[in-house]
Amino acid sequence: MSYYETMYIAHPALEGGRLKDLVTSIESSMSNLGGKTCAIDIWGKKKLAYPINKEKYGIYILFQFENDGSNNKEFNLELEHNPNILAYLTTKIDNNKILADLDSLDVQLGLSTTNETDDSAASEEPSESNEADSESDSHDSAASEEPSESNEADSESDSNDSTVSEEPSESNEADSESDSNNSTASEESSESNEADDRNKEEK
Amino acid sequence: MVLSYQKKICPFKENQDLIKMIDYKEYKFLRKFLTDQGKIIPGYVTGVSSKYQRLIAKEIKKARNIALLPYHVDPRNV
Repeated sequence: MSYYETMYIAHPALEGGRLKDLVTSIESSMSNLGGKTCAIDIWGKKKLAYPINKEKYGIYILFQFENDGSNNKEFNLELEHNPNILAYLTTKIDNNKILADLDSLDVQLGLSTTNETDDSAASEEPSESNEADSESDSHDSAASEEPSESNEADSESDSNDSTVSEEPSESNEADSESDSNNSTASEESSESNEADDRNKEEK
Repeated sequence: MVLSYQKKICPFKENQDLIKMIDYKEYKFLRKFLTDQGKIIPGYVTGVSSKYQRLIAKEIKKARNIALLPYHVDPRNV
């Protein structure tokens, strides 16, 4: 038996529970082929270096397992036939490259965090129906957190990505602000144009 | 990385800890060995010894397969 790892890119539209279903289904298919799961690391949504199936983003998932390598062809075939997986790469790894001390799948996906559950239990004790709401809230918080992480990751390497992702939000903020600001901005620009005209005339 | 043909010392022989950074998952580190267009910089430019240049080239190609690094970058789109 030797160790392998498969990195695959899930469709960016998958979120929360559906992403967990995909990850668990792939884990179960590996176990059906006689493999043993070692670690699952979800990198989160990242920008692809080139578009795959017209998708610019993808959810990177690292899946490490122990198997005797004879079933890897069938496992790759399952990944190939899964429409929710954009790309995959299976490689052989050493024993010391197995990741340890990873959070559970729910925590990595943001479905349940120990702190959040405590807060929700403290604030929303009375009815059980609120628990579903708190779960959906945690979905939203996870969704809001993921892009920021990806921005941080991208900002180190690609300044272009961070600027692209930040620009729309800034423009939205500018739009949401009162019109007086915009008018002042336009006035300033007109003034600057006038100043430029004067400079040209002086020249 | 600027293309310069000065004789350099292999960075992996100077610092042994860098050897385990040669991995397709450390794509930000591998980006040092790509040009702006996404080409692999030859070892005689970066000073990397041929032993580690082979490993780097393999890992870059793996990272390209999984869309962590680009196959090519069109300078007109940057």
